[in-house]
Amino acid sequence: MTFFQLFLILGILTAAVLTLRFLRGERSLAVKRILALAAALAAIIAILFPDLLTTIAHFFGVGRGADFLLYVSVIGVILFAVATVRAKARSDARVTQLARAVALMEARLLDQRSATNKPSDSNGELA
Amino acid sequence: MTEAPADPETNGSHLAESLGQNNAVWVVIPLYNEATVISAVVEDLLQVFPNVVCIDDGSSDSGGQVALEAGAKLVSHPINLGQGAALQTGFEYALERGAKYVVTFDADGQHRTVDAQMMVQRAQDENLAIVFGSRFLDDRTNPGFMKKMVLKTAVAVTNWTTRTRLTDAHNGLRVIREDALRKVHLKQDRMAHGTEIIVQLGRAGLPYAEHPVEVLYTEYSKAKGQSLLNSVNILIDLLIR
Repeated sequence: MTFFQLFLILGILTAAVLTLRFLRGERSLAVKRILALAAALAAIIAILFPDLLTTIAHFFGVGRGADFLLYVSVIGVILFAVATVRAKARSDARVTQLARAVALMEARLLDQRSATNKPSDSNGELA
Repeated sequence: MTEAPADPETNGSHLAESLGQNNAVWVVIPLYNEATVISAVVEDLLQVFPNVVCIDDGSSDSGGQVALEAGAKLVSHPINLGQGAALQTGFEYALERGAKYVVTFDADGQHRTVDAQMMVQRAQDENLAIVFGSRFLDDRTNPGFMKKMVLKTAVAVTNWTTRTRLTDAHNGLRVIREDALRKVHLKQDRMAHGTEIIVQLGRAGLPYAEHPVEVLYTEYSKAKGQSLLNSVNILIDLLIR
């Protein structure tokens, strides 16, 4: 094993451990963890036996193992970007609901205060 | 500036009548950095509609305070969420306070109170759930060639995708009855919410009509109005829902 291979494997292991720690879903957590472990395992095998990657590339009609890796990575990056955009949209929707609830609550409190300060000035608010 | 709405006892009977009639009408104004014009808009509306609420959408100017001093109710988003979100907040605020009709009105002074008044009247008389304002039913409004093209394209796509028959999809002046309001849940904050409202109201299957209104293109509203780039957003929002 060359030094560079060791360096790559350490990187993959660090990424895998961090992914497993930060993956906190509820329903699909186990599936995500299995996928992450499988990806890490595949990466380590590919680092230790680079020729294997070339064999797979040839099987799919791609010239070199490195090219094959690049194409798979591009698809991976795109899928990741889409997942991130969707997650952000969901999180934005939650922020909107939260901000609206805060704004409406503040308005209710203001109504109550003006109602108690000026009892004649009723505006029929619902507490 | 800070004067309360006209006292029915001392003012003309016509005014008093419309104020009384409009007790269950709430005017909802999304407000975002419009401090210079909002005061006049609110004061004008309060002559006819006793309930005016401004939704300050995280403005960086003092617009909310100005609206409050002009006599409007104020709801403040702690952060900027977008105009559609502000409208939705206004709807929920108004429903909470027993609104029978909600009027959506732009803060920049491009709509006329008279038009809003006539639209509410029409909704009541003709038992309509929604009255959309349209600047294209007569030739009072002159938006200019480019703007007209943009708006016409938007409305064509809107009609095509929502199976409604409208002439002006992105007019901020609308009257919505309580039952229709309960079916509106504007979700995507930054979507062309004019479209989202129509999509949702169209699905509700309630009776609607368009009413001719005049849009006043002041220098101020021209400077702030929807840019051509925004029409790209409107089209994409419509096609990819």
